Amino acid sequence: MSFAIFFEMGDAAAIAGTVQAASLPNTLKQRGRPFWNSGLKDWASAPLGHHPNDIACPLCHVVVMTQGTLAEFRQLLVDIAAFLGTADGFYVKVLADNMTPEMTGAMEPYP
Amino acid sequence: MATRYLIRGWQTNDATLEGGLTGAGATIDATSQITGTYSLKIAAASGTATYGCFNGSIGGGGYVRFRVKVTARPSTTARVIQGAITLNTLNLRLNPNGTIAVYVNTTLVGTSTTALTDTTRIYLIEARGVSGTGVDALKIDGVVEVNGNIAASTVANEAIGATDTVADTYTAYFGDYAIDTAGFPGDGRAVLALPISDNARAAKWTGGAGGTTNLWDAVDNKPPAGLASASATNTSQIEHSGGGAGNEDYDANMTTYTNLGIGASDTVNAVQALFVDGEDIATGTKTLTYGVKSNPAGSFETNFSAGADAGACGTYPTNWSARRGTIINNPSVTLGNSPVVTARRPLTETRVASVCFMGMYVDYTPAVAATPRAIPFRNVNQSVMRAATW
Repeated sequence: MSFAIFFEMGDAAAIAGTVQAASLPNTLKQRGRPFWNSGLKDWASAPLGHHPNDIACPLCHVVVMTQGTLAEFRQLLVDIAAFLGTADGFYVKVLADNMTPEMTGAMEPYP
Repeated sequence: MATRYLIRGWQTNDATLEGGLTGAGATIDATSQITGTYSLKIAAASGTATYGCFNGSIGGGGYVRFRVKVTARPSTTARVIQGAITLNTLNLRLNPNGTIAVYVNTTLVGTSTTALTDTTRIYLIEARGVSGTGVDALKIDGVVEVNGNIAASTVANEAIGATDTVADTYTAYFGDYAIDTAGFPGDGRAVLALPISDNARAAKWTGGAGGTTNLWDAVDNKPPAGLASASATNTSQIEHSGGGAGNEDYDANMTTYTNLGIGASDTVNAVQALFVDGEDIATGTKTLTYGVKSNPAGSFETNFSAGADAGACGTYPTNWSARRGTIINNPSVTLGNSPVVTARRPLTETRVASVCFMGMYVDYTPAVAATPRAIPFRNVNQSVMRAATW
């Protein structure tokens, strides 16, 4: 089952960059690998697209991942944020908070 | 009737909300020099422009008013204390002897008789930046000091302080600044109402850490204390989570006029809402608006993007937008009741919008103090003496 996240390029870059951060311990890197290989690695060329309930993000791009679940991906971001403990890390936590049906930052299943 | 174009009192203790500071010698001073705790301090460095507010024309003629305390005058050469030396523009210059010269660009209109030489005294200054022949051009403490000719097309400038780069210095404190487009503002004060309690809250408005009470305590900081979303607290900012029904409001009760020191015989000339907003994450547009909802009722500002869509808000002022609302002139208010200032999420879009300051400037004129009446001479002693002989 696939899921998608919807963000403008600046935020998509923050998500992708954080999941690939060289400073992460191997356990977090390993958890991130399926998401990276199944779609996140193509974030920079992701097409424009937004959640069907989103009325205010014409610049959003849709990044589709075909492995893992949305819940697992969100938890991965939360754990990475806690590990990094920096402002950039905590920003990824806020982005993860936006990956809910209400916040229209993600959709599962997708399409 | 007031037709205020600008109200500044520096009571927010925030340069951005007060229109900016230029030059290292322009600061907001916290030693209660003019009205309230804060004032604009101009310690003009030699050869350096040092001023507050925007150095630009107001787009037409205007009358300026401010209070000033001069603690150090220029040594040899006059420097600007209000306005700017540029085409058709009113500027007031402080002479080394303490008098004030009124200029339009480089043309002298006249010079005051009174000199601002008492370093402990606060002087009320009013000047005319509107063309006219044989008109009052400068008042000090309400008394006309300069009457003369002001050229056609004269405009006023917002800047207050030393906009010039003359090689001399002065130090002065400014407050109660106003520009009116219709006439001399007259005596007046610029005081700041801040949130004191919650009036009403749509469910999706919460404190920065999710609190549902005392939201006012997050939007009354001087200066604003907004933080990045991940660090937000219930005293740093409030948030609307998005995805609401539209037109969802947080209403804050503000300091009452009475508690601002405004008495029953005083006149409230104008009020102006202040607002600071940001977006939690860069993705998406989060629309907001604000306004004075009641006491007096005003209109809301045109919808805008939270934080001007500049990106995720950080520690104030990074990516926060400071705004001053439409001035409501000659309002009808109930002095003992709170004005209500509202933050509104007008649309149904998702994602979080944040607000870290809500306030309201009030420009008012104190009632004229009763003039002591001469007591008719009565020869009391004579009456007493006469009575004693009865």
